[in-house]
Amino acid sequence: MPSNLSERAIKAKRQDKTATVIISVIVGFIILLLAAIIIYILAKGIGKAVDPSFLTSNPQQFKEGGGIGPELFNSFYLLVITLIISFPLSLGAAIFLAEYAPANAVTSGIKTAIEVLSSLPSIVVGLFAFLLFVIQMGWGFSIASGALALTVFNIPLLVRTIQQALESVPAHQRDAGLAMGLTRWETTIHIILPTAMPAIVTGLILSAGRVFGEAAALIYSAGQSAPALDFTNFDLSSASCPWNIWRPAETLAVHIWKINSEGVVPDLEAVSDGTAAVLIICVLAFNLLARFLGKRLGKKLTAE
Amino acid sequence: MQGQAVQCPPAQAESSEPHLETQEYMENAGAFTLKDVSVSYSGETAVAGVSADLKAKEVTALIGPSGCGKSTILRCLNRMNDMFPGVEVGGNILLDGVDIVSGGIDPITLRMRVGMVFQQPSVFPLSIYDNIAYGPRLLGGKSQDLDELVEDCLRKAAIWDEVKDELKESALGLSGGQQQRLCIARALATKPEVLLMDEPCSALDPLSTERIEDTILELRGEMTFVIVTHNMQQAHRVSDTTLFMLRETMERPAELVEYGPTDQIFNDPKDQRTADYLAGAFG
Ligand SMILES: Nc1ncnc2c1ncn2[C@@H]1O[C@H](COP(=O)(O)OP(=O)(O)OP(=O)(O)O)[C@@H](O)[C@H]1O
Ligand SMILES: [Mg+2]
Repeated sequence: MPSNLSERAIKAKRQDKTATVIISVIVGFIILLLAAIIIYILAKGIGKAVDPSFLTSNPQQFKEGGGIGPELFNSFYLLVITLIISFPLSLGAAIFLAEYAPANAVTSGIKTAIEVLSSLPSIVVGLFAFLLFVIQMGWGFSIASGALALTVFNIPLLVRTIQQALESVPAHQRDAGLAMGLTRWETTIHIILPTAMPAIVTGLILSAGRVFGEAAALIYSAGQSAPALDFTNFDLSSASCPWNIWRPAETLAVHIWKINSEGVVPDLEAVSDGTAAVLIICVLAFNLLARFLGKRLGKKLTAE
Repeated sequence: MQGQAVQCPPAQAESSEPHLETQEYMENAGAFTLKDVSVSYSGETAVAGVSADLKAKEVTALIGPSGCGKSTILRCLNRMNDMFPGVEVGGNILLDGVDIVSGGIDPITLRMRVGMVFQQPSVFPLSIYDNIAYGPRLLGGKSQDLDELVEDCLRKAAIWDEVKDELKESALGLSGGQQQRLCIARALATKPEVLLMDEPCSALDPLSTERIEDTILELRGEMTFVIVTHNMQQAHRVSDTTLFMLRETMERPAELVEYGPTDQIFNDPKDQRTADYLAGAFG
């Protein structure tokens, strides 16, 4: 008996070791690959990315030495507007789906529609926005068109993450609220939502990273030109007013695509590398922020 | 000397309790009468033919094997079954003479009068203070009264001494036993006439269990308790009346086998099935 057992133990140990080694190698390979890509992009572009004049000056059409000032601002501005539109809509939809929706054909139809929407290629979303907002509505290449395109692109993801966050709140929390004489709405707003908040915030910021790096949906909606911006101009109808949502607004990701496909500036490779580095730094920052805020909120919720 | 010292304080404490007047005023509030109650889930009857009187200001225990419909009956008493689609309740359930099944009272009002404590401690992600103050605030309580109410509820649930210095801290930082007592305190805050408890101690250690039983015994006489428990000793210790339920086969709905004074059910059950169950449960 004892010898039998120890033989089994040795065999189990060996299997365990083999499995650990195989998994470690696979994971190590993936990490190496990702790290290599990120380091390559950063190494090639970091010189430009930390240069203040590159970050603030206007792009050049034909000469070298152009910057990405307007693109950088456009990316953030477009992101903020997109989130302002898509977050409330997604939150409402997710609350409906998680808390109110009866289990019937209409609900499952909505869920299917959201899933289909989430697997739509972003270039299709972009062309849809081009036809509807740019042409049909006559908004032209504009921040408004771009933000709505990004909203279409962002809503499915956001609805799903918020819905999952709400559904992961234990059922007894919900019961406790109702048993106290709260209405379903009060229970949702005051008990379910705060409990789910860390996961919702994390999901929101991660989706922001995705939106920030999106190019295909914007090429034909927010446009491929970045008029010089004048931050002292508050005339909301002027093309140089930063806050004007009816002006075209090329973003960082679109800028990279544009210079590589039709750029003629002599330093286009350096500009493209620098822009890519800036873009990846921003997306990394979003991810770190998401982790940090999620943890902070979670801690605040559970104690101290 | 010693005998006096032991006897006097409780007598004094009792006469100085402010809630004694309100107790007289609501002498008979919180009595349930069940008449031929049945519950079906999506057309399948789970419990049928339950008729019983749950006396006001007493403790009633619901016992029986798993799946015999204890939770189902309990959830009828504050209409928590409404949440499940496809649940139908038949018969009559009268709370102080008003039928709550046929909609004589809206569920929100009902649940303020009939509180509930669950198996899992379900504190809200708020501070300890806000957990208790939440319900009364919605009812429009004034903040200076709230401080008093919070202390009162925490004292009644025997947790005041442990948390009085950290009322502003998150309730999620408390231990499981403390959280459950906080839930009881929270349920007391809306001044319910009835408190329903579904296996409130099954996730707790013996010491926390004892404290919750003490709380029940202390508040008995102030409000009605209906408690579901798998712990026969607990049912014996805390309850005045015991209901024994049984579902003999899955083909037939569960039924109320018998009910009566706890002592009689435990020492001299009328039905052989009760005797068998208790013998098995104790053996
Ligand atoms: N939400 C529900 N949907 C469908 N059937 C249910 C539901 N809740 C309970 N039932 C059925 O009703 C019967 C009684 O269940 P109930 O939960 O009331 O039993 P219980 O006595 O509380 O059991 P336990 O001691 O395990 O908690 C069971 O047969 C169960 O399958
Ligand atoms: Mg149960």
